[in-house]
Formats: sequence, C-alpha cells, structure tokens
Amino acid sequence: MSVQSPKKQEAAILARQATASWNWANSLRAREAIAGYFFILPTLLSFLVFFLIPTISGLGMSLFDWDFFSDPDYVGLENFIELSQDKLFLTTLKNTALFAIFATAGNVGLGMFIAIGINSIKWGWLRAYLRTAYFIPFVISTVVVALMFGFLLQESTGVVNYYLSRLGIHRIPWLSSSAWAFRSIVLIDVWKHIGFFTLIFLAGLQAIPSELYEAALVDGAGRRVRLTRITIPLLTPSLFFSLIIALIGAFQVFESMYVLTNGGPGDATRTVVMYLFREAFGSFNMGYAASMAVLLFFIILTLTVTQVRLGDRWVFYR
Amino acid sequence: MTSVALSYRNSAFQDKLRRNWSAYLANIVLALPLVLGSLIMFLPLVWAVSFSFGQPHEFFTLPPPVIPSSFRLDNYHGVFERVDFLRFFLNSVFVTACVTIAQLITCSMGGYAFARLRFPGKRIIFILFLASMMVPQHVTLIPVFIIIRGMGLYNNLGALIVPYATSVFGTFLLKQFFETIPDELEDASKIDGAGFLQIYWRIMLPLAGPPLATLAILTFNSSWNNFFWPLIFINSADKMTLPLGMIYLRGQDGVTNSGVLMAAIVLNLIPVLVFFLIFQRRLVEGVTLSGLKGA
Repeated sequence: MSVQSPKKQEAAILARQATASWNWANSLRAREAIAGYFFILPTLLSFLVFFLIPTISGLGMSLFDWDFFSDPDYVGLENFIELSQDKLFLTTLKNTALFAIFATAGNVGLGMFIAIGINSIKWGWLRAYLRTAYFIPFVISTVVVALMFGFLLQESTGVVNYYLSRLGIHRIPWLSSSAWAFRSIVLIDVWKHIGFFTLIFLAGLQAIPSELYEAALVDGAGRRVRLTRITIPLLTPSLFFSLIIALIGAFQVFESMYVLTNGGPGDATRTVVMYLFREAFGSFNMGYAASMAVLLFFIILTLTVTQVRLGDRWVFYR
Repeated sequence: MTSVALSYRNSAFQDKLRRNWSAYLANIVLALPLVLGSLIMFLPLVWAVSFSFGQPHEFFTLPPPVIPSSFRLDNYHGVFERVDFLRFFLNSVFVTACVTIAQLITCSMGGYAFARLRFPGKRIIFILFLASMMVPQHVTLIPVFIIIRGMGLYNNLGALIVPYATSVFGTFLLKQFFETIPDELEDASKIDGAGFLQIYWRIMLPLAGPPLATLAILTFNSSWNNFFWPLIFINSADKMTLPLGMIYLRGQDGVTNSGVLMAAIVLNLIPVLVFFLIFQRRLVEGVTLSGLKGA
C-alpha cells in the first residue's frame, strides 16, 4: 500500500463512497421498479385480458359479420348502416333514452329533495331512520326486486291494485299495458335506487359549512332564500355527479326489464342491452351485437362529455 | 321600571316559545311526507313476507291478508322441493367470498404500488386503468365470453370469479388511502432493511383496515347481486348463484307469482338485510365516499 497524503486519502474515500451510493441507489431504484411491476401484475393482467384486448377486439368485431361458428366476414360499416335502418333497434334506443330521462329525473330529482328534507329535520333519530329506510332497497338484488313487484303489481289479484281500488282508483294494468309497463319499470327503478342518490346528496349537504347559514340568518334571510341561495347552489357538485352516474347506469339498463316484462308487451320495454343480449346469445349475430355495444358506448361517451362541458356553466365550485 | 323589564323578558320568552313551537310544527310538516314515503320503501317487503306464509286460496280472497291467517311453512317447503336452494346459496357464498378476498389482495397490492413505488410507465398505466372505468361492460362482453370459454370456464363458477378478481375501482380506492400514509413510517423500516413485500405486508396492510372494509362491503354487495354474468356463463342448475337460481325457480311448474316464489324472495332478503344491518354504517360511508361503481 502506497503512502498517500491525508488530503488524497480523503478524496479517494469520498469518491469510493460516491460510487457505492450511486450503485446502491441504482440497484434500489431497479428493485423498486421490479417490485412495482410485481405488485400491479394481477391488476395489469386482468386489465389486459378482460379489458384492453376485449375492447379492441369488440371495436373490431363491429366491422364484421360473424355468426360465432363460421369465419367472420369483413363488412366495414355495414352493421352500423343496418342499425340505422333497423326499426327494432330504433325502438329499443327510444325506450332506453326515455327510460334514462325519466329514471334519472326521478332518482336524482326526488333524491335531492328527500335529502334536503331529511337534512332539515331536527331530530337525529328520525334522520337516521329515514336514511336507513330509503337506502334499504339499494342492497337488494334487482332480480329479487323485480320478482317481488311482479307479484304485487298483478292486475286482478295484486295487492297494490286492491288497495288502490279501496281508494276509488280503478285497477291499473301495471304490467300488461305498454304505457303502464314502461312507467312501472321506471317506478321500480326509482324505488330501488333513490336511496343511493339521497346518500350522495346528504353527503353534499353535510359538506356545506354552517357558518354560511348563520351569516344568512344574521342578514335576515328566510327559509326560501337560504334554500335557493345557499343550499341548492352548494349542492350543484353533487347534482352534477349524480346526473352523470345516473345517466351512465340508465343507458345500460337490462335486468328489471329482462325479469319483469321480457321487453313486452310487444317491444314497449325492450332496451338496447336486451336487444344486444338477444342478438349475441340468442341469434349469434356477434358482429351486429358488437356494433350495438359500440354505438351505445359512443352515446354514453358523448352524453358524459357534453355534461362535463356544460357542467362548467352551472356547477358551483367553492 | 321593573314592570318594563319584566314585560320585556316576558315577551322574549313568549317569542322564543312561539319560535320553538313553529320550529316543532315545521319539523312535523316536513317529516310527514318523508315518513309516508319511507313506508313505501318497506311495504313491498312486508307484503312479500306475509304472502310467503299465505296459502294459494288466500291470494284470491279480498282483502289480501296483510298478516297471514297462519304461519304455515308450506311455501318454504315448496322452494326446497323444487330446486336445490341451498346449493344456490352456497354457490353465491363461495363466489362472493372468492371475489371479495381476491379483490382485497389484488387491489391493495396495486394501490400500494401506484401510491408508493416508482416505476417506469406508472402514470400512463394508471390513466389507462381509470379510462377503463368509463367503458360499459357490454363493449367487452362478446370477446370476454370467447376468452372465458377459451379458458374452459364456461358453466363453471370460475367464470364468475376470475374476471372479478381485481377491480380498477378498488385499486383506485386503496391508492388514495396509501398516499395519505406519512413517508417516515416507510423510511424507518427501509433503513431497517425491510423489502417492499415486508413494507406492504407489515406496515401498509395493517393500516388499511377502513378502506379495505369499505372495499370488501361494496364488492360483497355487487358480487352477491350479480345477475348478468351468471346469465351468460352458467347453464346448469347446480352451478347457479341466487339471482339466476331465482329465475330458474320461477320457470318451475306453478311457481310464477305464487307463495313459493315469495318464500324464495324472503329467503333471499334475510341474508341481505342481516348484512345491511351489520355493515350499514360502513356501507353508507363507502357509498358516499367513493361515489360508487355499478349504480
């Protein structure tokens, strides 16, 4: 070992340390990256196998004519042209859109007013009871809900019509007339989901600082002014979120119709997803069904993007 | 002088009393329609229970009995005679348990990586994940059907588990939580030479109780009620879960709109309502916290 001046020695030690720490940091970073990929592996695999590949092939499939058993034929946009002339598809699209409008209005509109009502009740126990009561149907499966209402809403022997007749209301053909079957489906949907939207609005209400109300009281603002100038503006973010969620869900509606009316009477309650389901797994028109799914996706996407754009104008952010 | 003060105090008292009374009255006026509305939420359930005990001839008697004339269990026997209801129930339990446990593991792993680890491509992968939440499942339906068949999972409970073994929503939920954990906790154990797996298992997971519980309850609920997937992938009665089993039961002789169907509905409601009563607080919390999946 050669004798070095203390200064040189010090420099060498520092250099060695620097290299070592660089190596150490480098290997740590590599280890961290490997660990990162390891931890996301299950999610990533599932994403690839059950989302990315299916989405791409689903988009591609809409350009083919394919009956599942023989080779697919490339037909370009023909499926979409056919859809635009398919009377049944247009009917299901109309039904779905109308359902979306009414169910969203019912769920979000009523949900908001119920939440405002519950929130302004002074007794805690009553608030807790009401919140629970409205939320219970949310945990019950749609199939069970639909079967239950199918029983209660029978025209001649149903319990609902019996009590309505006691009130002097004539028997309502809840499920047997086209117009009423559609309304019944909307009402059942509101029954099941209203508690969810009530909860969203209740959370929004609790986020409003009470100082605002106190200040308004000092200024002598009455109930109505407080409602229209404080509560409703500050609820707009919840309203915005609810509208988006409700519309996305409503455009994919399937189960309650499938169980309760099977699309009938006629095609009065047939939705896009029901038609899609029948084409895919009943008639094995895979390409045609895929084109419906793609169209539905673009409708939902357009609606959501439009809502987000319009949202800037009316949603009040603090 | 004293009389003025007294009358002043008196009128203030009366004022307060009046205000109290009017507040009381306003409360009642407000509560009444809400309470009536809440009865509409309960009434169908009460009727389902009462009809599940009813005898066939009672369905045509008017008025329909709200409290059944007898608590005979014929309809319940009818359910078990016609279908293997216990099998449906056990299938549901099995599928839901597997899906829930799998999601707790995979989502917490993914959430930990996205929140605390640095690796190339992290941002873009996460954005892609989030984008996937926007695409309705019907777009992927047919290709996924083919993939599941290719895996040999057609008419197999695996078809109801494997595609749901992880979720973007859950990963996102856990990521948000893990981001709130202070760095010092992790740094201390890094200095002690702990690996990432140890940090995840020893430090992160034990802290993640609340978000994991939220995820478990939401997953449990949506898996338990899943109908569309079994409808597509399951075609033999011994593989059915409860929602599909209900449709199968309805197709049996003399079941449509009968007391037997109501009995099966009540059997469905019992576990769900018990679940609800036990986990209500967390369920409500989870729903309001996270917006939600699948509404």
